[in-house]
This record gives sequence, structure tokens and C-alpha cells, in this order.
Amino acid sequence: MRPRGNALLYLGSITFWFMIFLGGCAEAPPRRPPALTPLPAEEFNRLFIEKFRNRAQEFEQKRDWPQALQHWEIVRGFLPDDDSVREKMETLRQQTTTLAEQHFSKGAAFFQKKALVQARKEFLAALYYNPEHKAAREYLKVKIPGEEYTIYEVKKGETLKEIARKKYGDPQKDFLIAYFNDLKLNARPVPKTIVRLPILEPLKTKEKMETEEEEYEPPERPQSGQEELLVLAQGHLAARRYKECLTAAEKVLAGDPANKQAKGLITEAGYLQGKGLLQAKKYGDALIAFNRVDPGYRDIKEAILFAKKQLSEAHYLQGVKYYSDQELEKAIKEWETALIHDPGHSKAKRDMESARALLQKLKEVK
Amino acid sequence: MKKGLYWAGIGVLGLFLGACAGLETKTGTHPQTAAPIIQERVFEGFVAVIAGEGDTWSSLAVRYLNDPGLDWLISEFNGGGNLEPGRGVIIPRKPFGLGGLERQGFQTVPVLSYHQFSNQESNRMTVTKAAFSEQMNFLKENGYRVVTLEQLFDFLDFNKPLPPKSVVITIDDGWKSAYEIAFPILKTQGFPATLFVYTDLISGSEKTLSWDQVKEMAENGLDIQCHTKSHLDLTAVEKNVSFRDYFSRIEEDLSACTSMIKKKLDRKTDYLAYPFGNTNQLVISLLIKQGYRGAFTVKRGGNPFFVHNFRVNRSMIYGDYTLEKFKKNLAVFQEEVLP
Repeated sequence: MRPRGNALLYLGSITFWFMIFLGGCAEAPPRRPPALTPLPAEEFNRLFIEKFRNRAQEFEQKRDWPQALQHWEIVRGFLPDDDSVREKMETLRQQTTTLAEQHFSKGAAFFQKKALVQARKEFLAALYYNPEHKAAREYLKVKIPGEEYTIYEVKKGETLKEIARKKYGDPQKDFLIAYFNDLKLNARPVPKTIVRLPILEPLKTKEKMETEEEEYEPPERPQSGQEELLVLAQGHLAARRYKECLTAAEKVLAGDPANKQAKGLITEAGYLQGKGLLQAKKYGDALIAFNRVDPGYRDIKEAILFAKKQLSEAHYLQGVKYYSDQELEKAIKEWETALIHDPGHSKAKRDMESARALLQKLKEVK
Repeated sequence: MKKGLYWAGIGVLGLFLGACAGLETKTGTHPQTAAPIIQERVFEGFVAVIAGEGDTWSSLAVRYLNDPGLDWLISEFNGGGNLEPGRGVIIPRKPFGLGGLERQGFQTVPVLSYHQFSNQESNRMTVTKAAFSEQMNFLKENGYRVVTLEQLFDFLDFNKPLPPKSVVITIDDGWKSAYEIAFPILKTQGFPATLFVYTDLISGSEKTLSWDQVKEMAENGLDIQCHTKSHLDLTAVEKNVSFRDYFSRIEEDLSACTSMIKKKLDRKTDYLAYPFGNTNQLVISLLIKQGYRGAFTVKRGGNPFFVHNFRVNRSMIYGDYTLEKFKKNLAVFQEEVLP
């Protein structure tokens, strides 16, 4: 009997520890249990609501709408049925979406004009107001730095050799088109097929290339591609090709926003281009050029003021023309624009007010 | 017999107790008022929690985000400072602050580039042990967070945010001093780093690493990536070499490095450091075609999220740098007020 009793004793003991183990495994959470300070539910909620409401309001005062929205979202978690919180969030959402779209449109317009630095700023603002703005990201990450490929649509009967001759001036580069488009070298692509063509830059030629690391001293100055662009920009500036100079310098700045040399070139080219446009009486274009210039540069403040006054006057005169043609609404619009450029334009203000009064009377008569 | 039954009964009780031990209710009943008491509330986009005794930003990051490295994210969202017991904390469950974009400017991430190290003497490409140690101490003591390339590219791709003072450390080539001098210092500091090897150099000679050493470093937290096979300039062609031969050479230089690392370490490579920092659009096209995620130049400067993924800037840290000069390469924010 005794041995059997011992066996049962062991069995029972093993069962005990096994059950403890199993019990622990069965229900233990994957992470250690939190050692937190519990609070009554009402107090718990109040703690967060007050804190995050205050912070949201602080951000609103600073006109930091995205942060304000983020903090109102926390408050709404606790107060899902509170209409005032919901309305506040709706307003902020509309505000941020509108601002993001406005900046995106401005960015796209600058991009079209190849004013890449200004475009980048606008796209960043769009993304700041709406971090999910995919198009703004696309411009910042892909379109401004420039794509590696160009796209080509295959014409009827074209071979890779013919495309290579047309695009690279060298039929022997057909292998590149084949490689990058997963085609066979002797393939005859179907017409209207879209192929990607890698962009080729001039290669450096060396009789013997470096193989020893010790010989290498990387430059602290910009890398060669950018140096070339800067040299190019300087050449354009000297030849008074301001548009080309701005394009080259802005390419440098797009990749290296702090590049002082590029900034200097943009300022000088923008200034000279603007002055030329002033002489040609293209005041709107002159203002766009001047906007690129460092605000402290030479007499830029006076030049901008002059351009604005001239632009204002041009809109005023256009308004007068519309007025004499009895196109009151168009005239009012022109005078409004005149006042945007020169809020002190007294004739524009006076004539606009009388035109508005007249328009009102006419509407009443009708 | 009775004793056996007794212990079996205790065992059943054990099961019950064990089960209970794993359960700590998130809500309960207040002993005096019978009102519900709360430790945490889980919402769709965040968790609200009251910090308890011994809680740190890091322990909350482990508990709620499964990553102690995200302590900064919780701290940042809650205004930072010390985490006192009883403080109400919001744990954001979706990323915020992507790209480190603010109204006043944007975050930049410096990528530091080292080559060789020595115990005593320095030259332009060789940093002394004392200087490297001093630089790493400076990063640690001044709140810099050393991040991996994967974290960097998640930031560049606008997928995940990075701590405000993030830095990346890279070492080029495959010199033995990376193993003998830099590796122990990095390990002591707990810093991740990336070794860009050009595979022809990994020969285990007196001055160069062996594959066993590279493997040991890889198994101890160093990320091993490509610096090509032969370290020839990818943008230069020798005289009398045809364009086609040039292309074959650069294609081979890239693919052979990748396949060698795969063969020796069984690891995939996603990033390249250009030899001499030089690249062109054709090389970039080739890297994209070969499935790389990004590549590094040696153009000095930090990296905003919108930097080109295949033209990421790196700042070379030279052997003659003082600590002051080193610090100049650590800019983590660029002021540029948004319109």
C-alpha cells in the first residue's frame, strides 16, 4: 500500500504544479499587467477632456490648425455625442483641407513656371495641412527632383535600334531599352507600347580610375553634378539668360535647400530679370521674378513697390475701359485687383464704390 | 491515497488561481463608492492611460506599442517632461508628425560616414579611437537617437516619424579597424550602425575584414550593405571602353556585391553607398531595377524627408575633426517658415 500511496502523492503534487503552470499560461496576457492608478470613470474622463481641450484651444490661438484638430480628436473620443466638439472638428477639417488645396494649387503653378523652390514650399505647406495629400508628396519626392526615365510611345514598325537612334543618337544603345523594359534585344515592340528610357548623362572619362581608398578625398563642397549646374547657372547669368539661370540654380536648391551660391544666383537673376520685365512694362511677370529675390537685396523693396503701383494702375485703366463699355461687374473686378496691388489707389476705390452703388440701383430698378 | 487526492484537489485550485493571476481587470469597482474605476480606455486611434508607480515613457511604449524605441513618440505627444504616477497619458496608435514637418520648418536627419579607425594616429580618412569614442559619447549624452537605415527610409517615405534628434551612423569599405575599434564602442553605446562593404576588400588580410568578422558584426546588430564589388567610380568610364562595356561593368559591380553578401551572410541588401559618392541617372535607374530601396552620396548635409531616396546626403567625419567641427554635422532641423 505504501508505495501506491507515494505514487499518488507524487501524482497529486505534479498535477498541482502542472495546473498552476497551465492556469498561468491559459489566461496570462502577452504583456505584463499594467501597474496603474485606477480612477473613478468620471474623474478619469474629466482629466483627459480638460487637458486636451485646453491644449486644442491653445493650438487654435496659435493658428496651428492641424495640431488643434489632432487634440480635438482626443476630446471627441471621450465625448462622441458632443455637438460642439463635432462642429469644431468639422470646421477645422474644412479649414485644413481648403488650405492644403490652396497651397497645392500654388505649388503646381510655381512648378509649371519652373520656380522649384517656391513650388517646394507650397507643397510642404499642403502636406503640413493635410499629411495625406498624396499629390503634394509626389511632387516633392518625384517630380521636383526629376524622374530617372523618360516615357516613349512606340510608333508603328519601330525597332529598338530605331528608338535608340532617335532618342540617344546611337542605335547601339538598343540594349539599354531592352534591359530596362525586360524585352529581348531583337524584339519589335507592338505600336503604342510605352517604354521607359533611362536618362543618360555625360560620363567622366579617365585613363585610370581610382582604386585606392586613401587617394580619395571627398569634397566638402557640392558634388560634381551640382557644381556643373552652378557653373551652368553662372554662364546663363553672364549671358543674360535669366530664365535658364533660375532653372539651373533652383535645381541645385531643390536638392540642397541651404546652398548659398544657388540662392545668390537666384536673387541676382530674379532681380535682373524683373528689371528687364519692368522696362518691357510686364509688371505682373516682373513681380513674379522679384518674389524670388532676397528681400534685402539692393533696391528690391522699391522695385516691388514700383511694380505693384504700375500693375495697380494698369488694372485701374482696364476697369475704366470696362466702365465706359458699361460692363460694370468686370470694371469692379479690375478695380478690386488694382486695390490688392495698391491699397492706397484712391481713384480705384472711389470709382469702385460708385460702380457698386450704380450696380445696386440698376438691380433694384430691375 | 487520501494525500494524493488532496494534492490533486489542490491542483484544481491551482488551475483556478493560475487563471486568475493572468487577469487584471482594466475596469473594476471602487471599494467605497461602488462607482466604476478605470485604468485605461482604448479608443480607435489612441489609448488613454493613467501612469502608475514605476512607469516610464519606455515601459508604456513596450506595453502599448510593443516597441521601447517609440518612447519619444508618447513623450512628444504628451508634452514631454517626467512621467509622474497619476499623470494622464495619451498613447497615439497611428503615426503623427510624419516627415518632421512643422510650420517653422522641417526635420533633417544627418547620416555620418566613417572609413577607418586607429588607436593613436589619425589622418583625413582615419579617426582615432579616442575621437570616435568622444563623438559617440557626445551623441549619447546630448539626447541624439541613432536609428537604422530602415527607420531612416520609413521616414523618407513619409510612412513613420523619427525622434527629433535622429542620426544615422555608417562605416564604409571593410577595414579591420571597423571591427577592432568602432564595433566595441558602438556595442557599448547600444548604437545601431551600417557597414557598407565593397566585397573585393573582404579578404581577411592584416588590414581588412574577414567574412567571419563581418558575420560576427552582422549577428551583433550591425547592418551590412553594399558599397559595390570593386569600388570603381560608377559614373566614370576608362578611355577606349565602349558604353556597352561600361554598362556591363557597373551592372556587375552592383549585382556581384549583392549576391556575395547574400551568399556569405544570407542577408538581403537594400541600400548602396556610391563609391566616391558619385552617381548619375543611369546608375539610379539600374539600382531601382535591381530592387534597391535607396543609396547614399557623400554630399554634406542633413536629409529632409523629401530628399531623393537615391541621392541621400552623408557627411564624412574626418580624422582631423575637433568635437566642435563634428557637432556642425548634426543639424536636425531646418528653419524655413511655411507660407
